[in-house]
This record gives sequence, structure tokens and C-alpha cells, in this order.
Amino acid sequence: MTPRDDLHDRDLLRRIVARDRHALERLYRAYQPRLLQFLSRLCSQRDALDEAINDTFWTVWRKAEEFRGASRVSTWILGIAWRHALKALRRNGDIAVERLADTGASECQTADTLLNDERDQWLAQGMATLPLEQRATLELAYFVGHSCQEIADIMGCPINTVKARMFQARLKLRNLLPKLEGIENATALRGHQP
Amino acid sequence: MTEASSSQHRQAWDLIPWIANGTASESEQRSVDEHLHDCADCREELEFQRRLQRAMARDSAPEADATAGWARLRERLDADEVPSVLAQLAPRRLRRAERTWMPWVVAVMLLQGVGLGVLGTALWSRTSANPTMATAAVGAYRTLSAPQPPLPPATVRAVFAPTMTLAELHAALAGAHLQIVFGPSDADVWSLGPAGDSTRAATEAALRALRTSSNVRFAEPIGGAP
Ligand SMILES: [Zn+2]
Repeated sequence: MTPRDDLHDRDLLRRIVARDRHALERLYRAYQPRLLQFLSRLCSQRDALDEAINDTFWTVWRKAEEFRGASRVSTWILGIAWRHALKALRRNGDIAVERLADTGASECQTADTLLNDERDQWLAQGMATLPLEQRATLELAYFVGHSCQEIADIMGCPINTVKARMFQARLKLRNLLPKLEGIENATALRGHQP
Repeated sequence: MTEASSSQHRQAWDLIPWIANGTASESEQRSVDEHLHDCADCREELEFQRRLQRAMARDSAPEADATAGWARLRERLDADEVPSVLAQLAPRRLRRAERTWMPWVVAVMLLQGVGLGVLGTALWSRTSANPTMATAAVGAYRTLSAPQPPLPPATVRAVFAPTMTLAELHAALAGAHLQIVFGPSDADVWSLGPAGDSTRAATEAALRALRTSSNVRFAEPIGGAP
């Protein structure tokens, strides 16, 4: 997300305020995959995810004029998505992350992927023990790549709360993930920052 | 550890995730760098957080079908627009037939670019009309003491297939240079008026055009029209 992308997003928002559906469609197509990617780390129910994303853009359509421009458009949209995801998760009553099943059996099982699968299982289990807010903080920092201030904006909380959540999450994972040490050399080959 | 270095340690420790993901400010980066030089715990923690970040970066996203998702959102926008227009214009309770039909009528009118004022008048005249005069809806409409609406007099009465889609109706009306003046009555009769020319020849041409559509069950001129 470069400043130039943000200028483009702001232009789309202005057109959305003027009831331009094409602008909304462009914003939707740009952000839907990103939101799905982030939210799918917090919830495994596809219906709930789709519902939250639909609600997010519904809110963007209705509240575009309330965007004050203090943050980036991407941060604003992610904040709306977070609030809708919380609602959807409460409605659906399932916040379990079951990414374990993701590790495809059809995949060619080299020593590296075996190692990665094992690590992924450890990680998924570790993450699943964290409260939702801590998990989201961690995902926003490490998966999406946001700054502390941006995460505070997205989650609608003070910076110190972000730091405290991060602190708790780190402490827990430290105890749960000793295996992360020593086997990560192989993961560096596959892992990438989106 | 002195008090000052303990507070430095805590500050650096809190900043480590954002050093790891590269979003810390320059001054934060500098102060943490300084502290790392003297603190093995923080160096080790930064290494651990970097490993954690790399492990988490693995893309696990489900298939994102943006086209299907957008279609669902568009339906929601469509469904919302018509009732909100109705709610503004007709805050009274509508009869069942109107609840069924009016969104359609409103949508057609919106598609045709008919002004909302006109729409309001049409709604008003419809709900004011005596329900027993259903088949004479046009007559009732004309004899109302309401201010004259800026719509042309109806020249054609038509019945459409119930399966006709909005787009088909729109196309049929456009092809015949007609617009909806009123309808449907309880007998599902629509009253149509000229969208442009109101000459007798134009009405005849409109009737011929309408009758070519398989969705038009019935089309006839009204009153003094041909
Ligand atoms: Zn330290």
C-alpha cells in the first residue's frame, strides 16, 4: 500500500459518496481478497467471512462520507471489517482456527514440507489458544504488516492496549512454541510476505 | 540492572514486533538498536519474533471469488434502494398487491429516469383510488382532484407476462417509446403513455411495437386513442 494507492482509494471513496457504484465495485475487487485473507486467519467459517465482508462494503457504501482522512483508506476499511468480523463471529459462535486441515496431503512431501507442516501445526495450535484480540493483533502486525498506530486505529483501541495485547500474545507463544526454534530455516524458503 | 536501563529494556521489548515487521519509526529503530547492543534478552527476542513472523507469513487464504461476492453485494444494494425510496414517498401502509408490485414500478420508473415527484404523485393517486375501480384505474386516476401530475395521459393499456423481467419490460417500453403512467391495477393492467410524440400515429406505432413482444399478453388503445 503506497501513498499513491491511498490517493487512488480516496478518489474512489469520493465517488462512492456521490453514489457511484462502479467506484464501489473497484474498491470491492481491490480489497475483498485482502480482507478474506486477513479474516480467514481469525475464523474458519467461510459463510461468516463472506457475511462480514459483505457487511463491510455495505458500511463503506453507506458511511463513505464519514471517512475523515486521518488514516489511510486501507486502515479505515480494515477497521470496519474487524468490527463486522467480531459481530459475525459472535453470531456464529465459532472462532476456532482450523488451518491444520489446510496442509494438503496431495502436496509432494519433501523433508522440507514435512518440517513445515509440523511447524504449521504447532503454530496453528499456539494461535488457537490466544484470545481473539491478541490473535488479531499478531496477525495485523505479522501477516498484514501494520504499524502499532495503524493497529490501534483498526481495532479502535489505544496504542498501549495494542502493546499490552502483543505482550501477552508473545509471552504465551514463547511458552507454547519452543519448536519454532531450530526448524525455521526450512520455512524461510517457503514463507513470504503478502 | 539500573532503573533507567530497566525502563529502556521494557520500551525496547514492547517495540520489538514493529522492529521485526519494519514499521517502527526511525527514532524507535535507533533507540532499540542502541539497547540491543547491551541486551542479550532483547536480541534473542527479536530473533524469535522474526521467526514467528516468517512462520506466520505463509499464505493460507481461501479462494477469493470477488465476482460472486460483488454480485451478492449488488443485490443487496438493489434491494435496499427501492424500499428506501418507497419509505420516503409512501410512509403509509400499502395493500398487499402494492407491496408486491410497487417496488417493481418504482424500479421501472427509476430506470426510465422518471422524477421522484412524479413517482410520489403516482403512488398518491394509486392509494387514493377506490379499490373497486381497479379495472378503471386510469379513469380514477384522471378524475382525482389532485394537482395534475406532469405525466402524459395514458394512451395504451397492456398486460404483461408475469415472468417478464424488469430488463425486458424496460426494453419493451423503450422500443415502443412508452412510459408507465399508472399500474398495475389489481387486474394487472398497466396504463402507458407516450414517452415522446403523442400523436395518433405514434400510439399506433407503439401498439405495433408492443405486440411484437412475446411478453405482452394484451395491448389496446385507451378511450379516444386509436
Ligand atoms: Zn532488553
